[in-house]
Amino acid sequence: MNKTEKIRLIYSVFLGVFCTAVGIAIICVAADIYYSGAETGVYYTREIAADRILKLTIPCVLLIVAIIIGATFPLVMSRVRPKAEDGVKRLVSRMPTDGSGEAYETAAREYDKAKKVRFFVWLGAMALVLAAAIVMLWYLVDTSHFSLDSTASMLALVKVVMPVTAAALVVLAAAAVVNGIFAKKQLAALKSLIKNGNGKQRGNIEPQLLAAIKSFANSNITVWVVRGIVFAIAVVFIILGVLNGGATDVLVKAINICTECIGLG
Amino acid sequence: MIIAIIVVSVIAALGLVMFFVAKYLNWRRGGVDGVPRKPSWQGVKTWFVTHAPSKRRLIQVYAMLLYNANIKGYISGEIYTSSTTKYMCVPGLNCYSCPGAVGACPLGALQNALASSNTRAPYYMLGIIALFGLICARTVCGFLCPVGMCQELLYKIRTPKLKKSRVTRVLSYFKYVILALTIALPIIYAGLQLPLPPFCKYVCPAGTFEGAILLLVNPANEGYFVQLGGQFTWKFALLIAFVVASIFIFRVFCRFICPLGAIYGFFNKFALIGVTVDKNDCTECGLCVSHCKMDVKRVGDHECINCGECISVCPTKAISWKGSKIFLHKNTLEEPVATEEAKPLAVTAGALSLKTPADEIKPVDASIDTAANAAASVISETPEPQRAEERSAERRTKKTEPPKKKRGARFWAEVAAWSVAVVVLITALIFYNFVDVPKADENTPPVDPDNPDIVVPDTGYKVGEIAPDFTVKLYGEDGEFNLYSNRGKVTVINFWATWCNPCVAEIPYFNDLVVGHPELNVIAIHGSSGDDVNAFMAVRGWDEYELTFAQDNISGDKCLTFRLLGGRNAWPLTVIVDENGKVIYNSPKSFHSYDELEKAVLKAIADGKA
Repeated sequence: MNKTEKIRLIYSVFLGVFCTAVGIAIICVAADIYYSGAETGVYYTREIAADRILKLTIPCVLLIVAIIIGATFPLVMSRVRPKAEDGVKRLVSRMPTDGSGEAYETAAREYDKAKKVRFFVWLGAMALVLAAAIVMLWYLVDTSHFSLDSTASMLALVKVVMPVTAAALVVLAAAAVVNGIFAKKQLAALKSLIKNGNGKQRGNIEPQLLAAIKSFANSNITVWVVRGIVFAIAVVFIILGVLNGGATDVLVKAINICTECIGLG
Repeated sequence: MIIAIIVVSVIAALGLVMFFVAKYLNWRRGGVDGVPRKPSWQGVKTWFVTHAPSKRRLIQVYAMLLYNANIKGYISGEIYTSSTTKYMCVPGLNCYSCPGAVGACPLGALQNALASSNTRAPYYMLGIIALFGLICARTVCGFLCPVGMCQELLYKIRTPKLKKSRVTRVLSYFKYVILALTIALPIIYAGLQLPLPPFCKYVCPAGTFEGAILLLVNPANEGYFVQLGGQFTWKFALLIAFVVASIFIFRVFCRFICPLGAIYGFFNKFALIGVTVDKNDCTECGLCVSHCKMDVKRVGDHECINCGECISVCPTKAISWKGSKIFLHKNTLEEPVATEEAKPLAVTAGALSLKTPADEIKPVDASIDTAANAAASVISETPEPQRAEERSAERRTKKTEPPKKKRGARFWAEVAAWSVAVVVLITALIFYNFVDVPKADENTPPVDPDNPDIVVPDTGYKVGEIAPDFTVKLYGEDGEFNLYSNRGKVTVINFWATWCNPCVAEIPYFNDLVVGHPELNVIAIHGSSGDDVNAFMAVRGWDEYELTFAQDNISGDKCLTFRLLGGRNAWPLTVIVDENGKVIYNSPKSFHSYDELEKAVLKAIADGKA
């Protein structure tokens, strides 16, 4: 990395920290206004808001100037490396039908092991995701969880559903990482199998039924039939909606402001 | 404040000038490729041409301007209320409470349709979304969504960026959880007889910025400030968080949160417009996926926003646009300039009779027999010292420009399309700002019914003014309510609507007020027409209430009494008039408990007497 690139890197880190700091400052100002007004019941007024915004003027102006200076640097995007899973998909048809030798045997064992680990990792992750989905569904179906105080209900929903969802996402992310690690091993083993095999390729080993379904789903005729059906449904629904007053509902809602619905609350 | 705005504007303007000068100097010095440029007018022109915005960016800006063509709304602080186009949804996320918005937001309208699903099936919105999905799918995200455009512009800020990975791919499924809640919660609350658009109310950054903040900055909407509290603080904090995150993460809202993108993603496979991969030409090299900043597994899947930036990356030109061959052309290897939308405008418009920096060093391609190639091959093939005649021949061939491309039918079709688009935009701006202008409210001075010859003094809706007289029809019983006939008692007037979540939530508190304070006149006046209010009230048991319900007088789309008492499209509205007819309270603030309402009423009465 030459001197210019180092300066650019340092400046970009500085700019990132500056942007975050200004963002946090703005959020803190809003929170301060809210909590200061909790005692009197008067939270925001034009004067309070203007006074606090003025205090943030200088940092915001400096941020704008810093952004403009940063714009003189080229944006360097590092390439994302291709995934090992895609490599496995691409090369699996070239897997040899047979082979011999210790290297081949070792590679075959590694390949099978990695494949099994990937399968069971995803199976476990899907089971946990399904469990999380059931918890969420149970919470939503039981209407006693919801009251006319929608804000309190949403807070309660967040407290129950979000941790479960977060856990499911964490499990999925972990499964994706583990899958990636073992996909690399599987790819390395596959390359070794191809190198040490008998040279005869196994070809596409996808089950015929699955291949037939994929071919049917991707065919032009199927796509156009689906398009036709969706178009027909859309047109019928729009006509029904106009007739049953749905379009008027949209208009009434669009020309009036429900203040809390846009965050004025 | 004005001085601060002027100072900021001057500094920003100076900064922009500095920016362009610095960019030009950087480019002249050689920039990234290190090739020095000669200073010349041609060079400056070339710089602007090669740094022109892409077609996709222009389309995004165009869409944003068209969605928000009601410029007068920003000046007056009022939203567009004409029925001309506001029953139509725009394809992208654009809050209909934005003062400039001329169409409805599909996501907000869908939530409201689901919230009314206990009274009528949401056919209209389902049909609209299906139609948009069929035609464009996530091309809307890539080309027609203002929120997406803002995120892309923020991403250009030169900070370290978070690369996409397996983890971000997993996180992209979170938007389906948000979608499930966005659909389920309004339906659940419809069962509880409470209209609730949860995404708009608790999450949507477009609503916070376009709806809330753009309304609040207008001095005419000062009355909205009393509404602000915890919910606004939460949504504002969320907006800032999205803005900051967009600087580091490409399209953070689109990838991880947006339920509209999640819906459109289902249609990506069979939409009419979008990118497609020719499997015969595709070598599965993965360059497209690695180049793409979205969490795609393959081009055209449910995460693909059909921006077309992968088209130029594909080495075998296997990626192209779907759509009718009449309007769009499949990329071909034979075309000298790639036809994808992502390249700068000047390149694809064929305006390049200018030499770009890349043209100055061209690889020799023997199959293309042009003078430029002849010159290049002369230069590359004769490294030894040249004789005079060879040098002069070289100078002659060097000066020969490559033959200008003929501007074919495609170029003129593109020019025609852009011209039509500009005409449509200008027409829309003229129509919404000068033609479709609402008539001013007629304020005829009211007449005292006991003394019809005497004109009552000037009235108004502000605190301290005498409230104008009005008469409204009652629900549940024959009869009318006339304000002036009810003088002698403090009158509390609450304007509500069936579709308004806070309005419906606070009606029980007004009933409690009637029970707790029989010395007060309390009336709830319903605005908007077309609702079966009697059925709405019966289902909730409000027909048993002691609270008086009435229907406002509607003219066209306007609620006359609501507007007479200062209503500016924002619901709910509570007005308190004292015994002498003077307005002592007028606020769009909603009440979240009986104590809050009672406190406000008693304080208003006490302030009025003082």
